[in-house]
Amino acid sequence: MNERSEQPHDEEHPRPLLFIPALIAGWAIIGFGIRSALSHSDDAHPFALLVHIVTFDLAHDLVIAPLVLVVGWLVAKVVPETARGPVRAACAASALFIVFSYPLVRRWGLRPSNSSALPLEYGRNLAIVIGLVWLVAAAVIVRRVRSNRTT
Amino acid sequence: MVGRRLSRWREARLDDPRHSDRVAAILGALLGVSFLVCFLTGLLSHLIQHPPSWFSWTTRPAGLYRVTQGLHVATGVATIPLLFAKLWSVFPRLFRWPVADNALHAIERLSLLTLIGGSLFMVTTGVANIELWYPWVFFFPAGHYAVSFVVMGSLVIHATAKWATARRELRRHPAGPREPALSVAGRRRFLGAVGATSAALVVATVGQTVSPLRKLSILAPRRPDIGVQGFPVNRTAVEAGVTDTAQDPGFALAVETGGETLRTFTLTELGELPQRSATLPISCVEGWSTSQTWDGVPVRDILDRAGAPAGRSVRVESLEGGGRYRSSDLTPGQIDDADTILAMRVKGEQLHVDHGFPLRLIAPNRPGVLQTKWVVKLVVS
Repeated sequence: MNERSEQPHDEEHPRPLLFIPALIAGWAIIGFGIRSALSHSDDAHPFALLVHIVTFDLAHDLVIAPLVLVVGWLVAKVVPETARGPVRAACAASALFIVFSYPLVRRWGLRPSNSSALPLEYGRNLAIVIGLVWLVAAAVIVRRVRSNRTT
Repeated sequence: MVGRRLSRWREARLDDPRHSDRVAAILGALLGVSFLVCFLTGLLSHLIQHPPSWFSWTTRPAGLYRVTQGLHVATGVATIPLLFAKLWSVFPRLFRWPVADNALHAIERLSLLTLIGGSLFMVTTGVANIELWYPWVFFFPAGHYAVSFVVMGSLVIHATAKWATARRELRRHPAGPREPALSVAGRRRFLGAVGATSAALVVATVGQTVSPLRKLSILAPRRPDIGVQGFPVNRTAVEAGVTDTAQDPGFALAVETGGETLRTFTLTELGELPQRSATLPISCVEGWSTSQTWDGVPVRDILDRAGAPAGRSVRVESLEGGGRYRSSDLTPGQIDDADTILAMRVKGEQLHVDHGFPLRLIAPNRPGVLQTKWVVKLVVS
């Protein structure tokens, strides 16, 4: 068996005629960003930016993506097939809303003298949003079950 | 061998329609548009705040910046589910074996590091900024600005490398001839869920600038109708350290040029000058905005009465002792707009000290950070 037939989903490789000019243009733009960070280093802290970018790469590939795969696998183990898609989607949407709202819920950005900053009850509101997400998921599951029964 | 095993896992995952080329192409095209919108609106905001010699910013339409910056933040928020969906969809492709076939292919794959890390950096720092949370050492605008170019450059490289595949996938009939109906349905359900999450996140936050949606936006960091005098404050008098100086009964506004004071105006004198009423938005760079009716004296009138030469730019200085936003500049064109005023009243009431009492600059089509509060001096260049 050759390498090609083992990878039927293999990606198309970049075409040099288009890709090399794009590489030059792309790195010129990246270079402008790097120059901006270096020339305003007191504000931009270029090394900290680099550390953050690498940390996000590693956090995604080593933590977030494996975690999502494990949750997806667990859902497949315990949830019947009809409900699997909506449950997975609701898990993903809930996680996203929680991560988005967590600094609001914990009021990390609160300013004691400013009543207009973070003025809402974010813990309760996050619970409402997640409740709605699962309500929609439940509605989709019910509809699927009913449609399976009629067919 | 681990590499071959992972490669087989990759092949199995890529049979799933949610990991198909078509899903990658659709999400990629949507992300391309959203990144471009965020980049252009962000660049515009940067240029307005730090104008190079070749750039000038008009005062009309008065609410244009409100729209561009609201769009910047709303699009950034909408991008979050799209970005994570795309990363999840293409994640199995990471485990290709061999890692690359040739040098160009390796460079293309390496460019994903700056694209993915940079994109996650942009959405994370952007969200933390609108939530007023700064868990890093860099100054947010400087870091967000520099990395935006890293992301856009990486995007040019990635989009070009994937152009042929994406074009083919986006052009072909949604249900390909060899594609089972179940695959098409699975793909559509996945994209539908991603789109719905993106829309829900926008609705949950966009009311901080689109006022009619404010009651639905229960996760918005600001509400345009909450704050002293019924609208938000970005920096309070206490935070700026001006509570006492702003309320000093001996307050006077000075007009200066070349180190010489041309004239001073007490608040009584300013109150006796012809007043101008203007309904203008405060548009914060953090994406909230609110329109209010302000009353005050046009800057042009104050300068004329002080005998300041026309056609010069003016630095508007605050009582604040320091800080990046203690002053802002007005170009001659901006000064000549009659709605560029030093406001003393809002909604028919005297300004609250948190909104800039005794005097604040309010001008059309301007970021909130340049609507200088607690104005004490106009310095003519």
